Amino acid sequence: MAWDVTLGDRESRIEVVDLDDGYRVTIDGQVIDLHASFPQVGVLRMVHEGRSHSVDVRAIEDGQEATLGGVRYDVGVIDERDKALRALTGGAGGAGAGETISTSMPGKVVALLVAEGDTVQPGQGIIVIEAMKMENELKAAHAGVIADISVQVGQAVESGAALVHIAPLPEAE
Amino acid sequence: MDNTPPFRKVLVANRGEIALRVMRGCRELGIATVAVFSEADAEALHVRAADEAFCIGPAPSAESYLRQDKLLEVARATGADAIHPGYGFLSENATFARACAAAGVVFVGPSPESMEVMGDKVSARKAMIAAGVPVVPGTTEPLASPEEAVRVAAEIGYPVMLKASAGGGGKGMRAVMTPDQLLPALRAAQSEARNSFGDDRVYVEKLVAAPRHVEVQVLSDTHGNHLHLFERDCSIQRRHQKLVEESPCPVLRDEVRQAMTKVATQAAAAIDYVGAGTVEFLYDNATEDFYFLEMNTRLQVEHPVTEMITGIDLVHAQLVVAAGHPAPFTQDQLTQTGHAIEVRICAEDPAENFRPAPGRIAALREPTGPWVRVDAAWYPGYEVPIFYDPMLAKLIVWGADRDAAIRRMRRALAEFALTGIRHNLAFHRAVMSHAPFIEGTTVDTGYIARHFGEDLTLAEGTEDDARVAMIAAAIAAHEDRKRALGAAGSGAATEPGNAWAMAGRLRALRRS
Repeated sequence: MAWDVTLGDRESRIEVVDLDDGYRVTIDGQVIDLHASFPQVGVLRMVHEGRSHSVDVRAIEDGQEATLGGVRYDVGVIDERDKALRALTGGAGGAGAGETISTSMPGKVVALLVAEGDTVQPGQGIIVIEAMKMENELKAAHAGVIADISVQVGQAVESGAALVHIAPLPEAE
Repeated sequence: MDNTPPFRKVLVANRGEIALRVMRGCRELGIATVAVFSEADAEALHVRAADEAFCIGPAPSAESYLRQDKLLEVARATGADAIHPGYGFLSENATFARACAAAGVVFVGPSPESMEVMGDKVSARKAMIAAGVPVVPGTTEPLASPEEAVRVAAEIGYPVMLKASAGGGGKGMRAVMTPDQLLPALRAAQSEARNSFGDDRVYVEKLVAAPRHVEVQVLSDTHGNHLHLFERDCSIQRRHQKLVEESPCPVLRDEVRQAMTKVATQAAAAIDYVGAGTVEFLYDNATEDFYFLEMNTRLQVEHPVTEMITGIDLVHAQLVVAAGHPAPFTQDQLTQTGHAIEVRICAEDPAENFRPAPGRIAALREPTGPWVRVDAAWYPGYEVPIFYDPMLAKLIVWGADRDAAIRRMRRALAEFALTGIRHNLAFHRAVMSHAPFIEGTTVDTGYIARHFGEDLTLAEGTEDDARVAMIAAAIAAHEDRKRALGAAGSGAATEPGNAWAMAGRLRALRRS
């Protein structure tokens, strides 16, 4: 199977095929046979060009987080079918879908800085989440109108929870 | 030697790594343990490590770990004869120590009176002056008026520091560099102190420029022995939170060390201290003068550093003296051997201005090997709760000298794997390879503010590693896809975490 792999501004097309003792990896047309396996869940050990690596991997949204040498790499990995699908949906509703404010860490809502129907500017504070004794203000990335507020002050929220939905400004449609 | 345990059963009124640390000490002495836990900590390791465990309330600590009534109720119900408070929570709460005494349970720590003297900065300062302990030049009494502030600051000489009497954690503190800044700074400090502590008393001190934070571990018993276990240097701090600690202090000359440790035991003697405690000093790099800062009347987070260089188990010693026995060693028997370093591992992202980052731990492999110790209470799959301190664990190493200890710390940090949450291991890796830290003499409490983001930066990773990461990610996606297809094809429920089932399925797939 072939994957479109991105890391920062690096982009590669990587095809992976099983071998008895590892994988045949074709990266941008170059074929490499790797000795590799998963000795434990989430750990890929591999010998690449004579160098031994142990990489911690776990699935994240739209890719894999790979950690080696103490450095974390958030790698985008999608296959051709996903990519085609995304182009389709992105083309139909992408620009007009607005923005959803969500939290990357679980916490508690300590303040809502907007009300439904408010018009907001890029960079405007929307909601304040407290976690581990620290307050964190989440901001709008784009201008828009507050369409939906899914939480209340005092409510505990999980990581990744959608908090506030901002619809695009009417003239942007 | 008498092998009778000092207590039969100890209730550990804490959570996390320190609760586990104390329970280990108890178990080694043949003492049964009782854990208490909040609803958020039901699966925590300190609960599983204890002989008995009781849920004492909801997740917020005010409703659980700080509930004195619940703790005493559990002590009574379980027949615990002592309560070990760990650090934080109720460890420096004189009211709780009194309540323990009234309930007939030994509080492992000093008397409420000692705690009260040291708990208030003004009374601590007075007591230390009386005991002949050097303090930073300044007022003993809170400032009565702005006029007095102007007069005293001029006497001491600028720069000066305004500090809240009831303060802590940097709140109500203001550095004043020139006379014209004094009155606005005084108003700001008073208002911050009133808002934070409900007490707007402020006093003024000389500002010691570029100080090191050097502290002395003491141990006192009820027989009048006041011993010290040498110093720790904790100068690497961020917003008054220590991040790296070591012993010996790399710049302290022997004469200064002897003077400082002697003064620390004088401080303990002056307040009839009992138990393990820490006398903190500001050390002036330029003049070699040192000044009393405060005394922490409890076990410290960084106590393992002292354990590594002395070979003394401080929790054992605390329990022995709390039971009324003499300290299990004399001053002559204590030596400072080699060098130890500790780094605090926090669920904080240094790349995002050290923002706290709770979450679920995915992969976890702690370093092991010679002279490496990890004090923690976590496991793969552990959900870091949002309710408590972000400090999760401590990595401590020992080496024959400072250079060997730094090399060992680098090696241990390289072995450490911790994914799923953001944390500060990359920061520690950067420090351990940072020339000014390795050289050591210029480190002071402004180290992080001065260097971080300048010549002290987080590793970016090499181009080769980035390529390996991309290949690994593609392989992982490939395996995830095979597993998803395999699960759909077989129709059987798949256990995503079951490595054996997965390995078996992969083998089967490859044969077909």
